[in-house]
Amino acid sequence: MDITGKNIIVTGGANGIGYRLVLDLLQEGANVCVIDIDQARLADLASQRDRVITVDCDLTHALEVEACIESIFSKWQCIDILVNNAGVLHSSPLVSFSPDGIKKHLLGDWDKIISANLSSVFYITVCVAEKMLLKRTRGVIVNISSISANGNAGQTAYSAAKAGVNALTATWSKELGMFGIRTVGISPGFINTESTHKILRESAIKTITDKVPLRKLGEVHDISSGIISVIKNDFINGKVIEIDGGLTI
Amino acid sequence: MVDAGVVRLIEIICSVLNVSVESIDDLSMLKDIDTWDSLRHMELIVSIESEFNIELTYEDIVNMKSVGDIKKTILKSIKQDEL
Ligand SMILES: NC(=O)c1ccc[n+]([C@@H]2O[C@H](COP(=O)([O-])OP(=O)(O)OC[C@H]3O[C@@H](n4cnc5c(N)ncnc54)[C@H](O)[C@@H]3O)[C@@H](O)[C@H]2O)c1
Repeated sequence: MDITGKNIIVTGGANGIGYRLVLDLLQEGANVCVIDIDQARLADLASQRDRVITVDCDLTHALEVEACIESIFSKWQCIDILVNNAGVLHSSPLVSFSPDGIKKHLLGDWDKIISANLSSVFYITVCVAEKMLLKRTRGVIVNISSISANGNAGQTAYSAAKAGVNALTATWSKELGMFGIRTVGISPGFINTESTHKILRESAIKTITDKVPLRKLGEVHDISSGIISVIKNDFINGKVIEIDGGLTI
Repeated sequence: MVDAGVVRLIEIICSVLNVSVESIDDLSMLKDIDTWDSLRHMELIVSIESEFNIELTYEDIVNMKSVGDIKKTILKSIKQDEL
C-alpha cells in the first residue's frame, strides 16, 4: 500500500512511539488524525503541522470513541489505516511481599490496565472496521502489542491485555482478511521512551539491556519504521512482528 | 450467460452454506437456513463478488435476505456489465 494521501488514525500519537510515527507518516505524505488525552501535546502538534487533525478522546469510553470516529469519518469520508498504539505501561505482580506484608494486585489496577490496553482497542476498531466495510476500503489495522504478551513476570494485567491484543490481531485478520482488510501486530521490546524510564529503575534497564543480543534499548524510530513497513507490505496479515533487538530469541 | 450465472450462483450458495440444491429455492430466507451465520454471510458476499467479478454495495448486501434477493441483485449486476 502506498501511504501518500492515505487517511490514517494513530491513537496515542501525542507522545513516545506514536508521536514519532505521526511525524514519519506526515513525511510520507499521509493525512493523520491523532487521538489522545494529552491535550497540551495535541495542541502543540496541531499548531506545528499541516495535514494533522487532533482529537481529545479517552479511548476507554466506548460512546466517546464512537462519536469521535463518526466525526472523523464525516470529515474524511474514508479511513484507510488505523494504528492502535495508545496504551499504558504498568508493572504489578499478582501477589508480592513487601516490608508491610503480603500485597495483592489491586482490582482497580487490573480493570484500568485491561481497559486502557485491550478494551480501548476493541472500542475503536469495531467503529473503524464498520466504516472500512461500508466503503469497501481495503484498509490496514496495526495493533501495537508488547513482548510482555508472552508473559512477563511482574506485569500481570499488562501482559494479559497485550496477549488479548494479539488474539484480536489473529481473529480480525481472518474475519476481515476476506474483504482485503489486513490486521497486523507489532510487538516492541524495551524502547527508549519516557514511559519506559518512568516504570523501570535504571538498574533494571541495565539488566534488560545486558540480555538484549544487540546490548541496547530500541529507539522510537525502530518501531515507527517497522509499522510503516507492515503497512506498505500487502501480504503481511495476522502476524505479530517482534521488534526487540533479539531479546525474545 | 444469465442462466449459467444463476446456476453458478446457486452452486456458490450451496457450497458456502453447505446445503443441497434441492433444499433451497427463491423463497428460502438465509436466516432460516440452519448452517447460515453472520460469518458465512460475509464469506458468501466475498465468494459471489470474486466469481462474478463485481463489488456489491452496502445497499445490495443489506437487501440480500433470501435466495431470490441474491439472484435479483446478481442478475442486475451481470446485466449491467453486459450493457
Ligand atoms: N515504550 C516501550 O518500551 C514499549 C514496549 C512495548 C510496547 N509498548 C507499547 O507501545 C505503545 C506506545 O508506548 P509508548 O512507550 O510510546 O507510550 P507513551 O506513554 O509515551 O504514549 C502513549 C500515549 O497514549 C496516550 N493514551 C494513554 N491512554 C489513553 C486513552 N485512554 N485514550 C487516549 N490516549 C491514551 C497517552 O496520553 C500517550 O500520549 C503502547 O501500546 C505500549 O504498550 C511500548
